[in-house]
Amino acid sequence: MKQLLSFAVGLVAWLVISAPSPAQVGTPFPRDLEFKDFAQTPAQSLEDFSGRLILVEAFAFW
Amino acid sequence: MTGESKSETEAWIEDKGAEYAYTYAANMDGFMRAIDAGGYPSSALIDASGMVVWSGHPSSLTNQLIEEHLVGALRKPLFEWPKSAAKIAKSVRSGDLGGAIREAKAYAEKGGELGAELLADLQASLTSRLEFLNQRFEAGDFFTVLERGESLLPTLEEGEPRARLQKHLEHIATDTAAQNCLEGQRAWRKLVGKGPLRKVKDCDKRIEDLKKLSEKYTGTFAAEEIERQIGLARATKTKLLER
Repeated sequence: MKQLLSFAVGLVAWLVISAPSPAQVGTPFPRDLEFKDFAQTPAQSLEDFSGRLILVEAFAFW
Repeated sequence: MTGESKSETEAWIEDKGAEYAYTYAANMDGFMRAIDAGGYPSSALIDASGMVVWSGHPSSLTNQLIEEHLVGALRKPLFEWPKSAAKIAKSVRSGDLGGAIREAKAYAEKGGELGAELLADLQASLTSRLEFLNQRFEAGDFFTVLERGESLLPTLEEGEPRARLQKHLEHIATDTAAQNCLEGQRAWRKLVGKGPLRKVKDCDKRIEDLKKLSEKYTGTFAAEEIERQIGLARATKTKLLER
């Protein structure tokens, strides 16, 4: 699993609790969503991951 | 965008020894919608062509799913490519895979660093995308074929793969049944695109509207998708009732 995930990119967005939202599986990930202050990666934008399989995870901590 | 401050987040990362890349979403609602996040933690896979191919709880992500979608993905991220391959990277960023392959061929012929590897990756990526579209077409998922095929087509050189994709697109544009299915696929997306479900009554309304669509487009791939949306709306309603 770790080997496989090494091909993927762990990209974690820290977000506060939100209401459930409609499914978007099977649709393109919006290109106009803005992400800033990338850390622990040389990437500066989501476009830097173009052509890769990306694993994104949204979670909050408390 | 976060309820936590950046300094608190960084402190948390350090405390946990987390080593993965992270970033901050400027548009929280949009991001949550884009990955179908209904709570925390939520995760999603975005494939090499930029499509959200899976979403759910991180614990439900399987090796098989990752393996399936690794096919056609670049082995090396763009930020690790040599600077001399900047033109190829630019084409990849803009989604012009055909252009990237043409650039990579010229680059490899000149003996550019990693030229053969980059070219092989890009060609594999193109092949897998075409195979994926062929599979979606056979499944009746005309929305995806149209959505992704139209942008891919101009990047393809003349040949069988291009001709096949063009044939698919022409079928979707002219076949009555395909048009009907496509209409249903667009209809449910428009419906769920109205925004997140924040109240139980919104869920009830959404479920009711989706049921009508499901009946209208029964027997099509759109109806299968709509049934899944009904399930999601019901799950959301359950979560809201539990709060």
